[in-house]
Amino acid sequence: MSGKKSKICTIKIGHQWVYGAILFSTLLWCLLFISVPFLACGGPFSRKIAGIITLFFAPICHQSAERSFHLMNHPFAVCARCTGIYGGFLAGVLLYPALNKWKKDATPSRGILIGAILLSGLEILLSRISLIPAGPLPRVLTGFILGSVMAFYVIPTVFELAKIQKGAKPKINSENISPKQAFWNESKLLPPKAESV
Amino acid sequence: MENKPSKLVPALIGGTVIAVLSAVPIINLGNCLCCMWVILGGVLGSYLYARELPPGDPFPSSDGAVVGLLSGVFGALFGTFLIYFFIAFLGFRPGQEFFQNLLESRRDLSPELEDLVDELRAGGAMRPFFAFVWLVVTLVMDAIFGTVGGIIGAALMKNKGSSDKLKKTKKSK
Repeated sequence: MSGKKSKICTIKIGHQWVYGAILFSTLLWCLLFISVPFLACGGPFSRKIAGIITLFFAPICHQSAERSFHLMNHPFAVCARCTGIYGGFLAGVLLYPALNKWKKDATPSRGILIGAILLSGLEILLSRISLIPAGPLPRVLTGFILGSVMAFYVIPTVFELAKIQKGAKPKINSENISPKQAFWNESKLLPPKAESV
Repeated sequence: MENKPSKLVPALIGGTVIAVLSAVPIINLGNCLCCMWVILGGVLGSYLYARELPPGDPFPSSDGAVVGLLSGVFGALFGTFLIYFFIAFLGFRPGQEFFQNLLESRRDLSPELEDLVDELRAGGAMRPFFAFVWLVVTLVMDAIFGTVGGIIGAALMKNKGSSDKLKKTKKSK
């Protein structure tokens, strides 16, 4: 037998790398819809790109110009609520390392998520029945809260998914080894020399 | 080995719901609210998976994310098939009114958008290139939002019994 020890080869991608990937993709996503007003001010080619980006976001947002933020007289590619959600998510991603330690993988209590969803739902309902002014501020604010809360559920989940187990050998089944061996395995000490018979 | 229930069946059901709700006219406008139907499909997949778990077993959010992701992928594939079925056999053009509203709303970009929309109106939607682009875009969107739905579902259906069980085992140790 070769002297190689059989051990479980667990590749744990560093949390920092996974976090960096999430931050990069979120930034890219936000830049994509914010870039539309800038591109719309440019030449024919950049305006065509702006049109393609607008169509890209069309399946997920109504994109009504009256309900969107404007920059240089051109609206963003998504509405104010979606801007709030994505902006909030970005803020949540940026705040995550400060508020939640790297190694704390658990997601927060579901009550926080339910509260954020209900808050957005309540805002939609109240603005529909004209109990609150239908302006961009309540939409963006409730969207921002929902987005930032979502970040604290998404990031730990991605951390959990990133722990790729490269299954070299299956784990030693504790039922198949003697209690004595299990004790030495747990204590990580060398077992005493076998008594001479 | 852990005996976990299959993720495929809940994902297929979630994906079918996403496809039907995203393809049926008028109802599909619900997706304009942050991909509502796609998120709902992910949550449904997560819920169905949680139901299959033995009582007291924990429901990790990563499992919910995988079910949601698969639901989104199936939803995009079935949805594209359904939409092209509608176009080819029923002569229905999905999103005509929607594109009209988009053109009226986005007047600043209307010449550029009109070119694209006119091409789609003139039967361009049936071209393999457009079908492929549509499939890629919906795959990306549905995968992202389906995963988010799955994570939301896992967070909402966190098994209370499992956390109690864990606490008890910790205490007994």
